[in-house]
Amino acid sequence: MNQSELNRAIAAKLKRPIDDVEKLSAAFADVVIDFCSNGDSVAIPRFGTIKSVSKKEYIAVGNDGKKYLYPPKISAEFAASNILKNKVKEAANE
Amino acid sequence: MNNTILLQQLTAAIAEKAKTSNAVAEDYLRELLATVNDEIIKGNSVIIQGVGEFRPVKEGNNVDIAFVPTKSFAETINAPFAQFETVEIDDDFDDESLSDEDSMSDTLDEIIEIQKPVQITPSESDEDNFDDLIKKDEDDNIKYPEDMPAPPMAIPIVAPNIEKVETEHSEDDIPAVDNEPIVEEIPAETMGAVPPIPIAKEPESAVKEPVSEPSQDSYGYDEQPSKRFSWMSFFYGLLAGGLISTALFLWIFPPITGSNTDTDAIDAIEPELVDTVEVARDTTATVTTDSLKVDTITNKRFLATMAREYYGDPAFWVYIYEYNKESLGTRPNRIKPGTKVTIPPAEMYGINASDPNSIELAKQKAKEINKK
Repeated sequence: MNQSELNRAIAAKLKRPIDDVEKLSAAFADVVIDFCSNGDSVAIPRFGTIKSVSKKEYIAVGNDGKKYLYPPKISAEFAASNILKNKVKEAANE
Repeated sequence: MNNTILLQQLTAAIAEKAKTSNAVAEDYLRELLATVNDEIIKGNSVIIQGVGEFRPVKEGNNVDIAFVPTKSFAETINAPFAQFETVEIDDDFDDESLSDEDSMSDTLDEIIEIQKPVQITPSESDEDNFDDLIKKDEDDNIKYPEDMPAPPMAIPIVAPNIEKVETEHSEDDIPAVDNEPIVEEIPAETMGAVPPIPIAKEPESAVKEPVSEPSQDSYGYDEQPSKRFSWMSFFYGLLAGGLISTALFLWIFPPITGSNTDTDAIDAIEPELVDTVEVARDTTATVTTDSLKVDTITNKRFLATMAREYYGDPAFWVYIYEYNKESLGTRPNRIKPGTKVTIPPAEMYGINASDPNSIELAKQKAKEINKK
């Protein structure tokens, strides 16, 4: 399901215009990015936690056989809640 | 930073961002999560606008939800390190060079450098600056500020040295230097009365304006640490003396604890006490009347001590206690020093230090007494 399909599904359930839902979706994304950029984690019950994780610089050998120093990095990660995982597992086993 | 944003906070932030009410934001969030969960449970991936793609991944029995952030999300969140790039390095460069210690050592060096105390040494150029700051009156005497504290008592350390100088040197020996005060002319009793730099009140100002000192010749910055050191050493000496005297007092006059209820502890402690008691024993404590002996409880002489002396084993204190129960009360470990006790004959209670049964009986009796 892509983002437009998602917005349409939400708009239908909320019985709200699609523009409002798109505005809310944009606000949701901005808020999550803001919080994660500040180093905070966004915890959503029965779904999971979106957080930022920093990784140190490291040395590795590239495909060309040369040594490279890879810079430090902050990346966004998602940790799913056990409830969601269990539901996915149950659905997969059925 | 490092906070966990909960649903309520998230809802409020979305409402504020979208300029809508909390209720609308809450409804949106609820439907969003319900829809996304439904799709993921079905095994489908979902793309949330601006955030990224969520995809269920199954590895054997383990299930996880993979997350791939959008490009804008990844770039925004990595903004602090955006200027760094992957760099080719020499073969000599290894992971050890990237250790935290190395990076920290540079930082630590900077910190140590910053925290080094600033040492001010007077120089010719400094003297010029000081002269500008000195306020002098018409007679070329240094003018002290009105709020300057009165000079303290003379420092005795300084005076003796100056007196020696007076006796060792004559007036002819001391080279005359212009504008330098001759030591002999200054009375010894007032030499020590050098007011200190008001470092205790305004240390910074003292460093910045050293000219506030009354005399630059006999008092410099180097003397401040020694003066402080002498006060500290005096204080430590006083503290050490107090501790030593307290320890001596407690050793000579130990706290009164009476007779121990645990007879095993008595066996461990009493041997030493008995030895010392015998050396410093007060011979007037024991009075023999007819066939019964009368003894006196002291700070070093308990029922167990007497039992060991008269019966050969401290466990037999119980019989001394029982014989004198009326005067000793119900607590054998709380007998006041000076209390007289009568020592019953050993035959009365079948006391026999060489008989283990007799000792065992005495210990059992002690337990009964202690239970009461």
